[in-house]
Amino acid sequence: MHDSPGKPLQKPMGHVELQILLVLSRHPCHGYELMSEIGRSSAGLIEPGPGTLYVALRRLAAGGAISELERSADRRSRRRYRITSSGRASLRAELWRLERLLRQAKEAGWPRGLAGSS
Amino acid sequence: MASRTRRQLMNSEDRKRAVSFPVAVVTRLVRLYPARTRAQFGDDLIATAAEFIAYTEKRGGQRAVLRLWPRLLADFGAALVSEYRDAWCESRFGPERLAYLSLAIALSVWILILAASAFDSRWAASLLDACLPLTIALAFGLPAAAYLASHVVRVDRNSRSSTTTSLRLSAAATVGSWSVLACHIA
Repeated sequence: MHDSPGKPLQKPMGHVELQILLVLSRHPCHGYELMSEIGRSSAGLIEPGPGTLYVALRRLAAGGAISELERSADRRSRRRYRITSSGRASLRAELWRLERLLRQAKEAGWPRGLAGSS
Repeated sequence: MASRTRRQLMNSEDRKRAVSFPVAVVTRLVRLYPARTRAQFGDDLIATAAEFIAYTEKRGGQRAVLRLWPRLLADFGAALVSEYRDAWCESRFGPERLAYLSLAIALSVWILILAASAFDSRWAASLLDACLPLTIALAFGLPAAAYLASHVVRVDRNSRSSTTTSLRLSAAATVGSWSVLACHIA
């Protein structure tokens, strides 16, 4: 029996949503910062465009996983987003789900498949 | 000296043009978004896209911006489809409501037929003839259309379970109504 993160298992999260939460769990960011950090942290594997990024941001905001930080009086200041406690719980549950999946794959002897052998 | 300044000015003018045109296109694309997304994220989306285009231009020049076009258009196209699909799923007549509506209508039609058959079987027969195509269309057609629209266009993990539940109920009602029909004919 594996230890659960203490939250009921939720449905799988999208790659972009997961990356956004991972970046925001480190520090609050604005849109472009998020785009570049996701590209950097995923080693170029996931490079969301502005359209895709904001679809994911809207969904996360609607689900209460992220919220907007208060903007300064300067009108030119960018909107910054931060992860909420509910977002952290979702992230923890998703990482636990992925870890469990990976463990299952390893138990089935799957690392050999990653090397390209049949 | 003067020519150099002019070249610098031209470069900055070209740069501005190279960046401002895609930003103008993005601004127009954002106008196509559903109103709620536009109101919530419109200005921020434009600012982020502008920053992205400006950085691409700074790093790779106008050619890089030119190469960015297909990616940008594909990205906004996919985002628009997702936004409208999400807006429809959350609207009053989303896939779940549509499936429940079809289920309710299909059940009502069959209750009507059964009630009519209790009084006069000829009535029931003519009602069956009239209502059968409608019931089949509603009980199968609408949930199937809703299912296709919500699952084939783009899988939405949040609405999938609820849609599947309503579709299961619709399917159960359809099987039930077909059983009633079979008993009636027998």
